[in-house]
Amino acid sequence: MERFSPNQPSSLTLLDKIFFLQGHSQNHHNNSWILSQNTRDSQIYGIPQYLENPKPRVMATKPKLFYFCGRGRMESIRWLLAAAGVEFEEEFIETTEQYEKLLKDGRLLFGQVPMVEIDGMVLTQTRAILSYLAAKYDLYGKDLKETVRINMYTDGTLDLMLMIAVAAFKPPAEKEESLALVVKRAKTRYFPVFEKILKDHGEDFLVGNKFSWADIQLLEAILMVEELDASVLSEFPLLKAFKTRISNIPTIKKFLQPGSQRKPPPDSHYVEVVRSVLHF
Amino acid sequence: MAGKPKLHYFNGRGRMESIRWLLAAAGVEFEEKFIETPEDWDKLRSDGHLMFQQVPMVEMDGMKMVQTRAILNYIATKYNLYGKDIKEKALIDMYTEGIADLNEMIIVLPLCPPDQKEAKIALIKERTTDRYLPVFEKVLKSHGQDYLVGNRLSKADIHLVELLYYVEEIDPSLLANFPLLKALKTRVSNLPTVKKFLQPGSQRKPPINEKSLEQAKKIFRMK
Repeated sequence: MERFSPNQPSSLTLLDKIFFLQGHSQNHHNNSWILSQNTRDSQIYGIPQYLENPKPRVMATKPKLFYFCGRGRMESIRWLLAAAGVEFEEEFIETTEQYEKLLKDGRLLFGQVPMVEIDGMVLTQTRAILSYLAAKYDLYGKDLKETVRINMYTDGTLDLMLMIAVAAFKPPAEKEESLALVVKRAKTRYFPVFEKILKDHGEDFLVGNKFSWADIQLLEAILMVEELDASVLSEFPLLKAFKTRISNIPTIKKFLQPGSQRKPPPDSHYVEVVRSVLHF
Repeated sequence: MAGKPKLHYFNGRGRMESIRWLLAAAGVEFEEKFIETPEDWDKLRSDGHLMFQQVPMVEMDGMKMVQTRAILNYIATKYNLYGKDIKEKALIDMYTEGIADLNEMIIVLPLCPPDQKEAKIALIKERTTDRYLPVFEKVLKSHGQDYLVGNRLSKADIHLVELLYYVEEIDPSLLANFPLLKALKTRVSNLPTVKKFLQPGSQRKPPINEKSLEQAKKIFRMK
């Protein structure tokens, strides 16, 4: 088992400075310096400079994801890393023995996956991991008010996506009912909200005229719901344009290609593996 | 500043209680507007104040915030209860999510059909003593400090102590083998703001009873 030193050098120090959550105190750093004034695309599209020409990030070690070979609760994490241009490794859990070894080695804080090894930490709990990544890769807004909006939006889209993840494990009739409810919620509760947000400010991204975690997760949710109902965006022209725009961001475009680490929708094999490993 | 935060929810714990705890612990005075009838609920939604048609909703600093976690994270950041850096925050988030998972089981227990209740309670007890409390006891033991993260009070400590009160309500003996958690509970309970919140007459809500459960179901038009 690889050992991670908590003090290993990484690009974290620079990013620590721009991490606004160091407080509303005098330590607050305006992170606009990360957008170079010379970079035309950054100014036009508001995307962080490093996303224009995705290169593998220079890091001591790549993050490593531990999960089943399927979407589940890990998919949003894969999306966020990929969108941020971060290369990552994956270890797929396929047997009870593998899982029990992770448990015995004490790497699963509450006995659960997702688990991500990153920056010398062994992180579990989906939202904790997502928040850490969003902050680290400057996808979490420029101040507290932007962050709370991003949190509201991502909590909403994550709720929707988790409904889909959970539905895979229900008996056929219930599953169909659950998925129908997902489409209904998307059309009546979630997508209208995001359509309105885009309409009200007329900007390209959901928050602060800048690409953030909220945009990544909304695209992920849109694509997932479209798999259930291809016409779901028919009443939402701005979301259609948003979908195209965000899909064309180089890192995301790459992730949407076949052969990327993006996972397909859950099938019966995936459900079988999870059930047998987790004993339910 | 627009004035005191204003909490919109029904008059009970539910998902708002951890927000009440956090505000109280941070020494922040807040107002509450209780949803008491189906009409109140209809109006709140039709006035467009609830982003995803759900409560909790908290009016604060010119915003109408929804989504429990978003609200809690805002409050914690504003009042410096979220660690000193991104790594401490990750730990706090990880602990908080575990606490929230167990708390969720307890929150939804009143909605459980009577024939499933005993099994649910047994599962809660098992998770408490086998999955969750040992983790936090171990964290405190490993660094020997007074608080879970960074030797400083954070939202993780407040959420955990709140949870310990609920665990105690279910069965006080569940805390028997966790001396450090008991000490944390005492320590946090003695902080002046928390002590005040624990007094009778504060805005802390009691466990739900049959009557208020029926009322809540009526308001939200649940079966």
